[in-house]
Amino acid sequence: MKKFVFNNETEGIYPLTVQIINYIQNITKDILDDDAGFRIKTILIELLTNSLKHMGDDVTRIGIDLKNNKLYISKQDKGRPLQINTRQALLTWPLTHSKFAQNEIAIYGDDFGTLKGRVKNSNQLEFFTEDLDVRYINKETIMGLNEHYGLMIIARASDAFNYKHKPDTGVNTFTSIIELKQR
Amino acid sequence: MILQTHLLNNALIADILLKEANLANAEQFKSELMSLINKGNKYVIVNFEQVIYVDSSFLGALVSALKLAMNNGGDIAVVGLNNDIRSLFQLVRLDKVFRIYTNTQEALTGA
Repeated sequence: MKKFVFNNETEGIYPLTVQIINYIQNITKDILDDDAGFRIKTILIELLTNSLKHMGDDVTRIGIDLKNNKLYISKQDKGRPLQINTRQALLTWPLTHSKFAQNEIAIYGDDFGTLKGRVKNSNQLEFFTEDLDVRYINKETIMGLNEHYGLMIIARASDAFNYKHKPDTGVNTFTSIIELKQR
Repeated sequence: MILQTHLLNNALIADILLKEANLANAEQFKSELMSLINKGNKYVIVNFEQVIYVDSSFLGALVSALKLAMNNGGDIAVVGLNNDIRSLFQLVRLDKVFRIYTNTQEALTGA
């Protein structure tokens, strides 16, 4: 796995994104199409933005790995564990399954879709979205629009996206997986 | 200043003077855009021509301003999106709530 260090400064987001994309282009060669390129760029920008929001002065590590045409983009830090105030409860770690019906947590959303988390175990959450096909849009739809998109963007741009918290080391890891198609 | 504005026909054109539309400037963008709406501008065309990328914070600010515009009986259109920004609008379904045009001229025709 190749690792990149992010110093959690806004000015560093775009140069580091470009640097990582160049590295990914080198290792993926002919299996990276325009759609995958857009998804990777979007995921990187949102992971780095997420880090900027939550990490302050500390550093964040971005890991890139390619296995069997699957690209793994991970973000690792030792900051505060993921805090989400869901519709059902405030998420605290380790997660308690009994709090959540069917082990699924509705995190946020609007008429177009909901970002959800599936509890894999007490220290792991897998994100996914439930999308609706909205045909008729009125003022109420717009007034109810979600204004938080970070995790939802990553979940939609990824083929799989999860978060793990390691209580013994305090390490938080977000991992996005993209399946690359042979052109 | 993030937005440079001028009136054209019945619309206010607001050019974003940023390359990176991100967390660092989202709040100021929202504040400037809302101020334009509160001054009575009903149809605001936000021009992204100079912007190379947009993050979730900036999108959130744009949505917040759209809600204010709708409450004031107005609307916001967006123009000048590069391919990645247009794809991002589609990814978060904002292509369904914002009127998206290639350029200002097209947006004025739709105004």
